[in-house]
Amino acid sequence: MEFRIAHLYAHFLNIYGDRGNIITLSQRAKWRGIEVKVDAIDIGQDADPDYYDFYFIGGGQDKQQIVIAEDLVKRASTLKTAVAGGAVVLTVCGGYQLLGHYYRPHEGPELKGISLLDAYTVAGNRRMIGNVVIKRDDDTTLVGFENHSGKTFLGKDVQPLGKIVVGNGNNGEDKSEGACQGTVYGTYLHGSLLPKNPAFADHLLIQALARRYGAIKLATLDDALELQAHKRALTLPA
Amino acid sequence: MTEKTILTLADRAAVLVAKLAASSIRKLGLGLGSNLPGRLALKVSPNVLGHLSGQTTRGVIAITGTNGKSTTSGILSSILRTAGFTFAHNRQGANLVTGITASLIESADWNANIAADLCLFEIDEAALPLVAQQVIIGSVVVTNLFRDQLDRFGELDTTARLINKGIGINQSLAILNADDPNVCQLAPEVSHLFFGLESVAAGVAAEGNMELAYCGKCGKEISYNRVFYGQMGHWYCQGCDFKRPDPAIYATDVEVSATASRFKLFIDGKAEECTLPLPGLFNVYNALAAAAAAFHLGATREAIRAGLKAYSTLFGRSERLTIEGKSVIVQLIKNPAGATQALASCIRDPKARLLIAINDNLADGRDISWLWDADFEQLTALTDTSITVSGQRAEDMAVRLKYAGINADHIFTVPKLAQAVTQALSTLGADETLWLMPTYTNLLDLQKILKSMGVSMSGT
Repeated sequence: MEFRIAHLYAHFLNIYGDRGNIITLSQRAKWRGIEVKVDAIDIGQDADPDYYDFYFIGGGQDKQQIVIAEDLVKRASTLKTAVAGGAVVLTVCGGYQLLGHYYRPHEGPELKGISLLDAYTVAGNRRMIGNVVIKRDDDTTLVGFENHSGKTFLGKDVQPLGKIVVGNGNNGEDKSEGACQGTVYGTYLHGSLLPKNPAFADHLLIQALARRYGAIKLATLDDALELQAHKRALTLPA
Repeated sequence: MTEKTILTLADRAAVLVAKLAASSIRKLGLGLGSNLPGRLALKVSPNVLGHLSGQTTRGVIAITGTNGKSTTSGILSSILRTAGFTFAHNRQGANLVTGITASLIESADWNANIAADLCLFEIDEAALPLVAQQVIIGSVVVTNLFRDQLDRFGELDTTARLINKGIGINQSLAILNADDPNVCQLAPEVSHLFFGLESVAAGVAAEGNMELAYCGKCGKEISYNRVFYGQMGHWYCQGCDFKRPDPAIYATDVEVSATASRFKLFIDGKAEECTLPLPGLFNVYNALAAAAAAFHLGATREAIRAGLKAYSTLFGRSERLTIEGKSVIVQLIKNPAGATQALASCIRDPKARLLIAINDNLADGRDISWLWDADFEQLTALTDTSITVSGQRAEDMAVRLKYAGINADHIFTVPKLAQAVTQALSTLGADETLWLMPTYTNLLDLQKILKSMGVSMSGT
């Protein structure tokens, strides 16, 4: 079995430890004997929509966001083909914002998103920084750290990833955090997200492998260290 | 030479108040008291910092940048001492306006007179414009600009803007790292003095992960003929004419070991064979920054060579200690670039054991995501070594190590630092060295813990 990851803009968007998500998925696959292939896909570089099981886009600085937005619009149709074929897309912070319909800054033109998520983002006046805990529908928790001023609002075709227990989440107003639409995910959680949320990491892994291998069961791993860190994060102040 | 400033009555009162406060704080055992006296003094005389520093004959030199501020200031003071200068220095690393004021007042007598040739200020990047508004800063050294502490300043561009503003206020001479494209884009309109690394000895490899940089002029990704570490190297832009400037002060043939480095230092076209009792290429850069500053201030080549050699480590920066007969190195870590460098030095020591302590207080950076950007994967080179993790975020550090490829059975989570230190020392072999890597507030805790064991760290 092989797990194929496309890390979009890996060299551009690598300042908030989002690389930890790639490391986590790769290791958790390898520990189960699954071969892993990670390709860094840069601006202007094509990614074959039939090839990859999983796409990741992280967060970056504002200046980089503009360049990325332009490139992302160009690859919107191949990315949509990939998603229609069952590929999983995980985006964090800046990447999340660009997967919605648009990002409206304080001044200057709107940044066009690619509408893979029914959501939009407007620039806010307050930077939302701190620890986050969210509760998912199945009562499990996700923990992470947010650092953003953009406020994201969800449309009717998309579900939040969870409800805010600690922190601000999408917009600091409606208690929602993140977004999920089919196999496309967006979240403001850095931390990195996946290392301390191993069950969610495995959920993404199973969903992504299903594209080529159907329903599979992953071997159980000893997650004692991960769960300890998760438990600790539940006690952190916002 | 600057003209001496006339002190006002308010300045003298401010010094008096601050000195009384500082001595009461010390008597009551309330800690180092590095900020409160400064705050009081600025209340009494808002211009006291400028007025006091204006008394020195050679003015003020500032040292800023992401990493290496304290070490560069420390090396520069070693050189200045050797060269026979007298100077005031905020050596406790209190590098915001109040801390700098407090430390300067400590150098003054009760009459507010300062008998020093110059002031050497290590200044936080964000505080530079604030200090520059009060003090005439003759020259500003910028060590490097890494993407650090994003939760504090927002973004790298913000930091660059703050430094630019700080340099612009007094049109200070900019002493810049030629090898760092992020630094070279700073302050294009002032005079510059560049320092850099020309060559390393055969077998010295680039340290850690390379970091991408973007052209300050056209935004294109920077290209390299050669990378030394991070985004440091011989760089150029393919999109425009922006490229590494030729440094006036530079090192060649750099050799590094786990504890020291040797290199040829070229100043004014002439070479000195230098030894620096610090490991890692990042410290060679700190030495070059200090050498450039010292040369500008008028130190001789010989004083620079001797000052480098005589440098003794600063509080928690590659500081070597002997505790209960055992060998310990303390190296502060606070961001991916610095941590990656520290780890690169550590793995050169085959007898290394590690204790990594991570806190997430404001002074450490509350977001610990950076642990995932640092190259802990290097540690797999140390086979079977045991690693103790401690601090408020010990559990996160344990997970980071596990995913870096360290066997989970070799990772010991001991959140309480005192207990972690005792445990790590008790299992340390006689021929082994404990590499203790704390974040900032863990370092302060460590200082107290070691003191209770009868070991004083430097500067304390």
